[in-house]
Amino acid sequence: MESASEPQPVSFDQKEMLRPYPIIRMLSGALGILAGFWTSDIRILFTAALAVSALVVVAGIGRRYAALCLKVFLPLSLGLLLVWGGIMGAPPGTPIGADRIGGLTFAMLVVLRLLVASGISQLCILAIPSHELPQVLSVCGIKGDLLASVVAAFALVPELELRTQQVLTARYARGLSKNRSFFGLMAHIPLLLRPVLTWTLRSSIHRSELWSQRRLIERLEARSSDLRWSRLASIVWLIPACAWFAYAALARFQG
Amino acid sequence: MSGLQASPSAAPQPPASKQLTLALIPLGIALNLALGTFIHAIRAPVYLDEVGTACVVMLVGLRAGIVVGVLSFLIGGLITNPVLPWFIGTQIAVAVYVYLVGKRGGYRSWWRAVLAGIGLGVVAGIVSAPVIVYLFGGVTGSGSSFLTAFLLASGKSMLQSVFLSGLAAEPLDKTLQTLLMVYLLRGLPKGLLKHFPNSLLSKNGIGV
Repeated sequence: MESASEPQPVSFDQKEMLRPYPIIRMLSGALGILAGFWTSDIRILFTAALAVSALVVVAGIGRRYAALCLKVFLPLSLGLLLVWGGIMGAPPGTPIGADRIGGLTFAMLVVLRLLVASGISQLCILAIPSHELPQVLSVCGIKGDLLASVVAAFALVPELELRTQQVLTARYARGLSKNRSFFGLMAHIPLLLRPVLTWTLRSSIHRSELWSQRRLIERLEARSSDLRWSRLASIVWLIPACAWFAYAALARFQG
Repeated sequence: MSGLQASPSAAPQPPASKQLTLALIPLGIALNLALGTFIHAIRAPVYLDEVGTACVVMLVGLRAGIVVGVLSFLIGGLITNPVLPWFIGTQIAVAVYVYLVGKRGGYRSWWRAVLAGIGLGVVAGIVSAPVIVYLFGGVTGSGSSFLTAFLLASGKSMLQSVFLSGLAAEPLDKTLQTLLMVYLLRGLPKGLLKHFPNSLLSKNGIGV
């Protein structure tokens, strides 16, 4: 007997509600990204960026998105504001120094468009649980060899990052990288990379044998019909994307 | 520097097996992306995001190299840097360039590799410049953006500034990457290279 206070496991139907049809998911993402690049109204783009950020947090990938914002978008914003607001002092197609506010607005437009595009693409791909990724990609037409490569790449990037960190740590621990000045570190790069590449090739030979023995590619394809998709979730994804796309297209083509 | 000449009588060899090529593609992608983290950890001012692509082109051929380049930047755009997917064209150009230069034995000696690296930098600079200007407004947040800003301040147009800063920064980075690729491939055990019977390797004196 389960007590009333214990958390109930999520039923299959509830999980299904969070799964739009993969094609709809990708189509909504593409429409959203295109609408972002067509929108020139900075207030709408700012609102869209806030909405996408909130959705990214709800989808559980907020930390990764925040790291991207800090590492990529912050320096990009500063650079663009310096170039267009400071040095050029005008948006493209305007004489230098003629419109400083216009230059700053253009810089922010570029940053917000990229921020929205990045958030939407993360929502479309990274929000998919890793065990569902093969099925989603397969339904989207990525099949066979390409599917195996993409799925394996997602799994292998953290593994190889870990391996490179291990090589670096081992060299420090053995006292082989004593000179930590700029030129010392530069000189060590080839020596650090050789064991990583050798491991990569050995691992690929090993994996190819395993894949062949276990018939991995055929099994990946066979799993494509395991999941069920939610019609309601598809509508919830598609309607805002279509609405924003229609608005952006009208605004763009009406001038 | 000596002893790097290729055997002129290198016979055509059968390509690597399909399974091996397939297994190498995700590892090439991971190599491209993980090296970025690695370089970031030692604070080096280079990118090294095309070493995996170049190595895969040399080991298993052009098609696999293009797949590695394109998928690296698509996946990298999702998990490391959203700027990357817009430079997929540069990755394709790099793969094609490495293949064409490799077919002509352009990595047979170190001085040839340096020339090939400078050429690769010029190609990458030309292919990347329109994307940087028209999509990013001239700045991508990398180190060369400061050079772009300096050139803009000196009165050059945006396209000229991005193109010139690309030509200043890319050949150095790409020459380093090319030399690194040659150094890494030459250092691989011959027993390991036997699994990759590619004519590009033998034409460049690697694994013979």
